[in-house]
Amino acid sequence: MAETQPSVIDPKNAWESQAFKHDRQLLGCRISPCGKFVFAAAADQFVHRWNLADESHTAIPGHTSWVGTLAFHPDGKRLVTADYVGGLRCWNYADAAPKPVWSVDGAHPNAIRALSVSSDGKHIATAGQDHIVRIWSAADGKRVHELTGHESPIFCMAFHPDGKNLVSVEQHGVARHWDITTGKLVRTLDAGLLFADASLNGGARSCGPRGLTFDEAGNTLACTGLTKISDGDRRGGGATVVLFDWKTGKQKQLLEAKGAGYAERAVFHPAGFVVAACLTQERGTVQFWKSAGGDPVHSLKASCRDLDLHPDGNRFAVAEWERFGKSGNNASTEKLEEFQPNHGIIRIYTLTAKPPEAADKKKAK
Amino acid sequence: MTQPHTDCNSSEHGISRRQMLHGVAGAAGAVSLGGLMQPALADELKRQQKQVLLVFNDGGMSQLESWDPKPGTDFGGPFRAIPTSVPGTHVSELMPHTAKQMHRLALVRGMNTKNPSHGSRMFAFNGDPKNRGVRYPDLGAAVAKFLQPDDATLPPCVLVKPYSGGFDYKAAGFLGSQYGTLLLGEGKPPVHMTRPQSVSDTADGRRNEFRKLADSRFTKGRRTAETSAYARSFDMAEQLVKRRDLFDESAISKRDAERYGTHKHGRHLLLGRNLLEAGVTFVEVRSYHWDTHSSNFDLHVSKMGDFDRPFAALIEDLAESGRLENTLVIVLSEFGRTPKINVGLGRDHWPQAWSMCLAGSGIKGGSIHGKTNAAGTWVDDGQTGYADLFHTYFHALGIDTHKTEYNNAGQPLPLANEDAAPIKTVLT
Repeated sequence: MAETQPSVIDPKNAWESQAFKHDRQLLGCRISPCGKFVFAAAADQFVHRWNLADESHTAIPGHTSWVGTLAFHPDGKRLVTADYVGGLRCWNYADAAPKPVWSVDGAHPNAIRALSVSSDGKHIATAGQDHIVRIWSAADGKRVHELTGHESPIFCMAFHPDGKNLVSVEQHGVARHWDITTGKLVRTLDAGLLFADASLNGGARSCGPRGLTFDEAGNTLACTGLTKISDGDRRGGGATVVLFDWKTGKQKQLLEAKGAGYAERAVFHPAGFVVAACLTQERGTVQFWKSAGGDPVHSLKASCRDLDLHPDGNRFAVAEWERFGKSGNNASTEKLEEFQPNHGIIRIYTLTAKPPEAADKKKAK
Repeated sequence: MTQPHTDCNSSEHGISRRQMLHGVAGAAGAVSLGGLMQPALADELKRQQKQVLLVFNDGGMSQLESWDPKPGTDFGGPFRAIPTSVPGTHVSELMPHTAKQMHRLALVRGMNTKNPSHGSRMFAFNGDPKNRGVRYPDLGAAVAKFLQPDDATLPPCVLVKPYSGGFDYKAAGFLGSQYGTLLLGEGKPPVHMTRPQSVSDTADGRRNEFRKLADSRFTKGRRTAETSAYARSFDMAEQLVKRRDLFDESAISKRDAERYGTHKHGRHLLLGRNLLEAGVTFVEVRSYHWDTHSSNFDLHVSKMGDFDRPFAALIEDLAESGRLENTLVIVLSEFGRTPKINVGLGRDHWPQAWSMCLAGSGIKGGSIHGKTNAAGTWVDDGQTGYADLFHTYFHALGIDTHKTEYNNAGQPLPLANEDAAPIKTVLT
């Protein structure tokens, strides 16, 4: 990392330092372990890479549907991506024109919606529409285990930092803790409050838990989603991060965002706060809480679907949507030219105070 | 019918057998009883014992994630199209089991119903008749009027649905409340179905005799329509009490449990099959919350997962039992969903180009009517509206909408909007 660690990191200082536009909606983003690139999944068939230094863009072909999820290998060199038609790819992400190191077509028969790489670098876990968790060798993409028992689609999953334990959460809110050395189920955790169906007898449902992240020490598990749904989709309810005590498996805190919507993903900042991307149908926010809990200490307006921390701790990336043309019921019936896909944008935010030269630079633009 | 919706509070309330009967009696006095111009035709249709199953996916199922996929296009979404049992016909990969039944299904891919409001579902139910100053019957009441055998004892129209149950007499329109719809909320029978243990068979028989005696006295000098509707409804409730087995989940076979699943929609479709087998003339199985304004793709993974296998099992079961030949099956929503993917990865309301499905009685399996353009935004060929569907339903059941009409207390009324026509492509 070329930049010096700033002395005062404070969410209230956050300001937009870079932005990268794309002509399709973005589904997710991750910053590379080397800190040089931001990668994004989009509503197209490419993995997108932006160089933070020179702001160049590379669209990397190789998938045959939307790329739904992406994660880095701890070796700092490889990126793993998965798509909506069961394709799994591993890349040397910094190559000029990356080609898959290995790939598995039909890793699952249909959409892969969750992906995680173990901290020891040995294993990759995938899951999604078929309710099954599969463990792969990160070295060559050979299948190691198949973990069954979930009864609804799986939209998020995370390895524990010890590299031996894995948590997968299904739509209906059942979190399964697996020992991947044996492939056995260790226990289940209850994230049911993030699934609406249990509380409404009419079949109204949310997508259930959306994101799953461990803190660095592996003591706390953050599971994100929507609670208190009042109708069939996300227009009701509130974005929530549920913090679980990993040792007991019990819920220890609820971090509730201001405003309705889903908390799509939360990450633990080493400075002692939790950051979450919260999305509603029409708008969104990035919300900040102290790790100890309480109300949000700060929020940013951002139409975000995902976020990721930069390894320097001073920046984070947000994958946002940008409206293009008309949307809504019966929209665009008169003007065909308005019937165009929406766009996406990656924004990089910096958590230390904006230096005067940055303000001058923006003014000059 | 009352329509709970994601944006609406349900006005339905739990209702007992007593309340149900009260509703019937009240309604019978409020509307005049309709009839048919050609009684001989009605007799012949009733003899054939045809039935109708409506699967209504309330909120608007996405045509792009079901019957009319457009993979690889700007608005096609992430899912693939898969081949079906009909060469050349593809559907979304989210319905692999239904794809294997496609030779028994017909698709209407040219739906253009213009109205983007959820309220347009009333036209899905009544066929969008012109305003003639009367409340037209919904499909269930209309077909029950034609098809229900005179000796039928079970309710003519039953709606299996989430939320609460009740009795919807308004659905029968001018045909009269005896063709109203019994709502089985959560797939459960009406409350108070079980006779208290303290009432013996003998006592029950005696009190029913007393009731019939009282009814008999009451009917003297009163309008037949009111009293017959009341009496018939009581008989239906009594028959339902005798058919508690229809609701016994412990009697579900292992094979059915596997194919229909343990989730609500699957169990409701299974109950729908059982009600058809028991002789109910019109069965609707309704599911809610297809209104995927956000997270359309993840929610369709889930919703289509609940629909696909049990629906395919139901078609398979009806075909294997020979019942499909005499049962018209309809899969419908109030509209489709926008090709344009909104910023929440949802799809909004799109009545301009969507699809529905038919099967069974009078339907040509494997046929397709209508075509959307490459992007799925507009209908290129074979525009179809709700009224066309109604003509098609009636013709599929052997009822010529051009030769038959209602007799609403002397007022002749067409069965379906005379500006529309049956879809010949999908009819045998």
